[in-house]
Amino acid sequence: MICLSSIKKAMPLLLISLFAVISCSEPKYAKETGYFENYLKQVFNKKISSSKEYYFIIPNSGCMGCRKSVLNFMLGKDFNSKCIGIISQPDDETINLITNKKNILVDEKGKIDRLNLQTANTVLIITENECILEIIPITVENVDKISQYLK
Amino acid sequence: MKFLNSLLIIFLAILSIVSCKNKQDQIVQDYKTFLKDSIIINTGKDDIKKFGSFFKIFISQNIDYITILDRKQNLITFLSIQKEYKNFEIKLPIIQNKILDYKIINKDSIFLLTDSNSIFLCNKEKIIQKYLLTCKTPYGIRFNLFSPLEVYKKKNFVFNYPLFGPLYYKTNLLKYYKSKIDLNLKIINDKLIIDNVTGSFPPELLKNTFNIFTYSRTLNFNANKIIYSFRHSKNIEVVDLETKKSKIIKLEAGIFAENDTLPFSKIADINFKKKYTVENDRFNGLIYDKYNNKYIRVLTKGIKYENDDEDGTVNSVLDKPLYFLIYDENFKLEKVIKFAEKKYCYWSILVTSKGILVSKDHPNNKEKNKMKYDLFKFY
Repeated sequence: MICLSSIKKAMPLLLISLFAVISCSEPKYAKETGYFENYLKQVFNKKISSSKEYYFIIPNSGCMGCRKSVLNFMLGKDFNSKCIGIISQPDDETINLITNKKNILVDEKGKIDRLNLQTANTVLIITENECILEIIPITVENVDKISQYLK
Repeated sequence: MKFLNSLLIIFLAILSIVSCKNKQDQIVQDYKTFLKDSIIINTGKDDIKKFGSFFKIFISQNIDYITILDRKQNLITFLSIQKEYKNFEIKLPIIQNKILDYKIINKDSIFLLTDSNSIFLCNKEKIIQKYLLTCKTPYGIRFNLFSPLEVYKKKNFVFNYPLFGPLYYKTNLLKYYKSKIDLNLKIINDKLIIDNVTGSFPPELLKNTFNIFTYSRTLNFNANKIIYSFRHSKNIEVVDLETKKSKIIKLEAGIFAENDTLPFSKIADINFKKKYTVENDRFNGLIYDKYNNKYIRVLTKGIKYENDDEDGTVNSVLDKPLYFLIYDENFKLEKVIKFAEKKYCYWSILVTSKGILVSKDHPNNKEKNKMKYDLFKFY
């Protein structure tokens, strides 16, 4: 029989264990999910979907070659309905290129550049069940691999 | 007695701290004291604002123009900083090779640096002379925002040492840092001859470490000097173009905290580099004001990268407090000027005959098809 006093003694340990379990079960990108969720809502009045989605982010900084490669990919035929492009403060030429592309969103004020989402350069954010699963930096070297993967 | 001695030491220590603090406080002045005018230039197109740090000033008949190379339309745009004078464009000749950089001598004489190891002298759309670099060296002419093409005595060229980027920057950084920064060429009998290579990276960069956007350079034609400023260090390198000798000078800059170079392993981590540049003090540029024989060292002070807010926002380099450190011709510190935060853009600072222009195209103030500057007179 467990007496009340031994439960009391074990309580802090139990609480710590419980906290540890909860912390471990938290998704890898819990904080980032919150930031991204707020951002999508504020800028595009949009939610992270429960189905799998691929957000290709082109910030207004970083390597020019990466920006160009990701933009070319967004304009190509492999950029399917699961993919969403977000471009921060595009110039007039880019706006003309993406005018008829419904799944490319324009962040006019460049709010994405200000988020702690590892978006100093082009990135792919994979989401599912309203959470971020992965944040993958896109470089000139791996953009082809990513497009192959999406096929 | 012992107690009195200790008390005296403490008193002297406090006194020295207070006096140092006062000295520094005294020297920092508010930018508003020097503000003379605000200028808005209608560009007509937005694209040309992209390369803010690459604008050059050209003065004709006492009118200062901001000039911008438009590679797409193959022309140079001249934007007057005085409203009463019109903007205009000069068409360039059609050259098969890519134009990397330019230097305007006058409206009829423009030098174009191309990627075909050549420099063209043009009169509007007409090529007057093509100078080819033919010597047997590994040099291939390249382009770098921090070492733009400069021409002095009409036939001497200084521009970025061409080992940058494509050859070594990513693959062999150590070799890159062991190389010189600028290539100096001369025209002799219509041929381009290598006169000198100038500018050395500081030794701390040779320890298989790197620093980001390492340097900036300025030319003082009055004294025939090229001066290199390094972003992480108080040191500058002064090269005498006549004697070809160089020396390192540690400039007084009490406000600046020197920062470490970074491990080579971080070179590809753009997010890490962004955080580093925000969090550390950086000398973002060194500018020579030939009209007043003064040097301006541009400093951005480090700030916290992450804002502890619900939205998860971070600061950018443009949020960092901006300072100008003004030095005389002998690099003696004269004053430190503090600017308003989140208002100015440190990468577009231009020396004109009317004063110093500082861009106000901070993301908070940006306007489409417009360039905004404040004009300052610091001395």
